[in-house]
Amino acid sequence: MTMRHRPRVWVVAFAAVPALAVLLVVARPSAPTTPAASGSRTGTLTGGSGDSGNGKNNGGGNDKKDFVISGNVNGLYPGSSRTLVVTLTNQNNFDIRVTSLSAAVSDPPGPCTAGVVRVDPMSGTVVVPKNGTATTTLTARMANDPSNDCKSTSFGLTYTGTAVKA
Amino acid sequence: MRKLTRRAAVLSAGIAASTAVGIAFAAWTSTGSGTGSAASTADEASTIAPVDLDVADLLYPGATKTTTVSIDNPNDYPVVVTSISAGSSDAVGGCAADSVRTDAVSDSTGVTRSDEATSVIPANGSGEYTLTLRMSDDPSDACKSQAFSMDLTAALKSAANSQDF
Repeated sequence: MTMRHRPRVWVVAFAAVPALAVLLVVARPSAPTTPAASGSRTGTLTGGSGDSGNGKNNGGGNDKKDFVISGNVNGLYPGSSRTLVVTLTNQNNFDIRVTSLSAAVSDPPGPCTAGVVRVDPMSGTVVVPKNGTATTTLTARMANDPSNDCKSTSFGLTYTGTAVKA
Repeated sequence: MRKLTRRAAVLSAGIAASTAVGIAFAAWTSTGSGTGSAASTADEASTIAPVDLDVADLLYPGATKTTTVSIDNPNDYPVVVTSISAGSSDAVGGCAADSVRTDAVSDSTGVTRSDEATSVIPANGSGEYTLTLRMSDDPSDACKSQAFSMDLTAALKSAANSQDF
């Protein structure tokens, strides 16, 4: 549940910050920006956001692309913990650092429920090279007492993750 | 008036710098998504085997004795036996079927083993259980010195306790 809410938070932050920046520029159009690095940083970073409509794309940044997550695990049995190898594919022309990664388990067909399987979120971070892949591991666990309906069952996993430019 | 202007300028620059940091993180943040699967195994069936092979020597008409069976657990998780069915002997050498019976045992939390003070059979282990054995009151002479066999069915369930769901 936490992962699903996080993008909303960033959307709000992203929308609010440029508005604040514009307001400041209007208030002090000739304000002496003593630290030149500050002004340069702002321009570069704004360009990197991909906002082409306002002509701010002067940072030479690339449009970001979502990274792709995949991975399967077999052999779950009551009380077991299995290593789930996850492959991360970076489609960008720059390295990214994946800072969060989690998997939601969905109900399989039939009476068995998703609640008998869990996948622990990733701890730490992992760098994925530009236009490359990297692997990391998660832990998939099965409850101690799943019902008989959960034998030989495939549970769907839906991965979500976030990353920043490395 | 001039001082106020400088302070305002410094204050604005400070806020702008903070804002830039915020943009830096947000601008390059990306998300990832994908799908996968997690598959469970099926259980492997246990087998029941007699431990006392010479029970025929112990039986006589109307006798109530005990016998021991061993149940294995070929799975990678611990189990408990929740029931062992009643048994009825097969016909053998002219001795009629059902001349010897075993009583059923059951315990929803696990039948206690006879070889250990526990009901749990560890992963890939085995456990022994004592059953009550009875011979009918009037078996035929053909039942003397016979070895009896019967079908037994045990029910087992997971006794895993390693997860905290």
